[in-house]
Amino acid sequence: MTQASGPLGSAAVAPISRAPSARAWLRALLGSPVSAASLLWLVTVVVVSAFAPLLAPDNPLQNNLNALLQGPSLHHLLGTDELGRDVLSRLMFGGATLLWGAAEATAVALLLGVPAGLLAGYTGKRADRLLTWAADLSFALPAFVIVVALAVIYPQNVVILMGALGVISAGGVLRFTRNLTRAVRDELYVDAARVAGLRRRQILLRHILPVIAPPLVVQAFVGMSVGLIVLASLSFLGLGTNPESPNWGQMIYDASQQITSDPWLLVPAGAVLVLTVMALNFLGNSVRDLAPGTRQSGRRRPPLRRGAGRRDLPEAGAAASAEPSEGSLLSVRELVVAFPAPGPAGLQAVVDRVSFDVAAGETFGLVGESGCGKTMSVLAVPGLVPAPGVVSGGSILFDGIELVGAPGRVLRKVRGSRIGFISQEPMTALDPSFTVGSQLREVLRRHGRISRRTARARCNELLREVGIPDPVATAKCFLHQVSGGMAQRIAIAMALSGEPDLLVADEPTTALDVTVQAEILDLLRGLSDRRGMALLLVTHDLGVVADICDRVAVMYAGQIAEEGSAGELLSDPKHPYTIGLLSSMPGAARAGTVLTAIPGTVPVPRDWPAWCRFEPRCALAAEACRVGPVALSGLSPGRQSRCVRVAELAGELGRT
Amino acid sequence: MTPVIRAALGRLVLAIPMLFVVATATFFLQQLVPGDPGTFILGNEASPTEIRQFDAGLGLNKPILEQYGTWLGRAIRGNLGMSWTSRSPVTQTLLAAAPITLSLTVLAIIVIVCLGVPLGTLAALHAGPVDRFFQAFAGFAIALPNFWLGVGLVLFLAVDARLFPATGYASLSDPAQWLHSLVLPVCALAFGMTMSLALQVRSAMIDVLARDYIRSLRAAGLPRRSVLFKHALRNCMAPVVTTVGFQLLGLLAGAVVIEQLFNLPGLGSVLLTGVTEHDVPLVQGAVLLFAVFVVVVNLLTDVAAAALNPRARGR
Repeated sequence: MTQASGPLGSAAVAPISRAPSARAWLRALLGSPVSAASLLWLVTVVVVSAFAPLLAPDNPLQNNLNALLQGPSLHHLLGTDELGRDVLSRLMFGGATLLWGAAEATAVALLLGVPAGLLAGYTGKRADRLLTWAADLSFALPAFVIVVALAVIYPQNVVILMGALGVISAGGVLRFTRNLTRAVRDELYVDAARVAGLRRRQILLRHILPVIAPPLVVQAFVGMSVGLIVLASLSFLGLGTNPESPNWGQMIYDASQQITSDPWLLVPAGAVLVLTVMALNFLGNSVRDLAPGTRQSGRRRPPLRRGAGRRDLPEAGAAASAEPSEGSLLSVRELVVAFPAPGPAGLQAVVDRVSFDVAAGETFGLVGESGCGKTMSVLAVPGLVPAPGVVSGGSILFDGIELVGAPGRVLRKVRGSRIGFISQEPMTALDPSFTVGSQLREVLRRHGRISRRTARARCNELLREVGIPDPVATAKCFLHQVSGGMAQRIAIAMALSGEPDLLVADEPTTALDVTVQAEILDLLRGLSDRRGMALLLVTHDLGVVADICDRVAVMYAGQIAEEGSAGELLSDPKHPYTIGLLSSMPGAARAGTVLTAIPGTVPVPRDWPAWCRFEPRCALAAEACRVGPVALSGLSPGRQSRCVRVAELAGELGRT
Repeated sequence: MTPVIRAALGRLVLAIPMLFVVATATFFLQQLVPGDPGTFILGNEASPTEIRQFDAGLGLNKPILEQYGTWLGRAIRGNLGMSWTSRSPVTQTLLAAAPITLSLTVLAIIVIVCLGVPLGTLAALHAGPVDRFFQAFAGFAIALPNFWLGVGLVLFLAVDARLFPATGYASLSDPAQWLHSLVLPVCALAFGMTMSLALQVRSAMIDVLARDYIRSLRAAGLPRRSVLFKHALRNCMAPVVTTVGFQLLGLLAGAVVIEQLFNLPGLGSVLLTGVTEHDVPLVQGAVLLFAVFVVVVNLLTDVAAAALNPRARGR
């Protein structure tokens, strides 16, 4: 439900809340076999309960002393109870009171809670404070106990008891609705409606209610299931019962009195009650995913599983052909990173046969727009591709050690102590629940068998090395107490604590203020010089490349488009994409000319053309570009370009 | 003032008017009971004079606000009046019953946390069939009414296998007997909630494991053990504590049913006796004590949640 966004600014665009369509509702309720079965079951229960007098084979209250406690038979499909009454008929008659009672409690809770919640959330101020206070009060009430106590005044009066449950539950609905409304109230489209002069009632009914409807429906399902259990419990206790209309809870109680003589009696009423509650809960969960802003957390798999290693991808047939070059610290060959996708292959590559080398002490930049596969390429190096992604082909040789498909033991030895890693967003890259110092010391002690005191000293040293003025005080801080720039310095310190030979940095400055960016770059350059540490730097900023990189590879749509030394590549680009990136830089523009940008956006992997992947956006595209896949061609040692027209366009490229 | 103390005070400030409201409501509950207590307790054979005398003995002939004032004043000092039927002080009855309900809920919450957290973590780490089975089973367990499970447990483990007593309570003075008498009720009470907590832990764990800092810590070379059980688990604790707080409240409600089923003379049984015998002071007292428990649980939950929030612990 996100709006399409520009090539570089996707993170800045907030998702637009929209009410789910009728089709989305249908999919939620019928999308999976289980939810369809749940709905079918509920409809059956309701219909059977409504038409029990027509459908039941027997009179549920008719005693038959000649047929006591009989098991299931053709005559009594579910057997008879201690008075010889037909169990199936009693079941059919026993749903209505429960369903009515639960529906009543739910309706009361929603009718009181939703309007009050909308009011509190939308207007705020005094009404909000008063209503929230009332809701908090209701939370502090022992609801079930109060309903039981009310039975002293209104014995066997289901309408009053369930109504009371509804009133007490309304507080929860109120608070829930209020919080949803608050979240939606400040969305842009609601502002727009307000500016357009719509009345408050119209805004609430047309723009807010539909958006918050799915979570409210979830609440309704939950309310029904709680109501059923509460009323069944009351009946089991003999409080919400009526001998004239037996319900399932009461039947379970009756059965419990016969367990020694006929345990079977427990089964029918129990099963029907459990199935009904399960169906309600399940449907509630299916609707939950319709709510705006909910992530389908159940679908996201944790990255911390064993054996998330190499898997073969049929389409990435080419074996690692090129030999790793001599003398390089890191040698990535024909790397393929893929994610599960529909289709015969079952996998879709997002990094497609990428090769590059990083020499010891060298700073290597990987450049491109968002969505080009840069981050996945470098995450594969320390084996951190997030599940369900897999490295499905190629080789990553680090100082003679093959990392693709290596067991966790080997990877853990390399991580931190040989290869350090820093990520884009420093404010999420540190554990918020532990102090900075405690995390750093834990990592330090992991890498060298050192005492607590030594770890403390090393920690302070490291923090000072990354430019933190007061290491002792900073070490005692939690993440929320430091600024973004500080956090990135701390993250760098953590990555350095094992004294790695290679530091992998995934857009280390993107999330920072411009002034801080320069400082962090200076720090990285200084560290790499002082320690002789190689740097593998992912960035979309060619200014950063110009600043600190020795060599660069430009990535587009999962492939390397061009590679060369930073100086050559920036001054004499050999691929239209590089030219486009260069001319998109504000610094490259001359005063008075329009800033040239590359039209369009990076296509998602399943839309990659079968020929030159940049062709649809390329200003210089020709017939030859659409013939087939384009190979990287070497121009001079260490200099390659993936453009078929590189030779003939030399002149044109230069002029652009 | 640290945020932890502020959370505690905030909850207390809310608790006092809340208890006042509940106390007032329970007092006026008495006025709504149809018929007068004298007739109800003494029966129809009693003469009008006897009934009047009985009512006067309870102070029921005084103006209602005066009665309320007297009752509230006594209640604050812990005197909840006399039971109409047994003529014994309500406070004494409640104090005798409270340990049983507390034993039940405390044991149940221990079981729930000790099983729910590891089960949820396990499910979060095993995508695929294990996780799907776990979710289906949890869905079933949550829907299973505790009283149905209780009856089933009695049937299999008490009546058939004779492993545990079907009903009754042994006091804490004999810990082995005590535990033995509570095994079945605790199981019946804890089963569904264990799986519901496990589901909560599972989704919190999946959420936390996808966070950047987990990747950073792994990239820094920390062993799996530390990443999982120190960092990931610690960051799951906030939602877990909130859930456990809610579950404690649910356990108090569940105890009413389970005590009845297993014939345990706890607070729930006192409440039900009061309801069935129209013993209003007993009902009032039980409701008030339950309300106090709810307040205490909410207070503990808020304080624990505040203490777990790192923003509350820094300088």
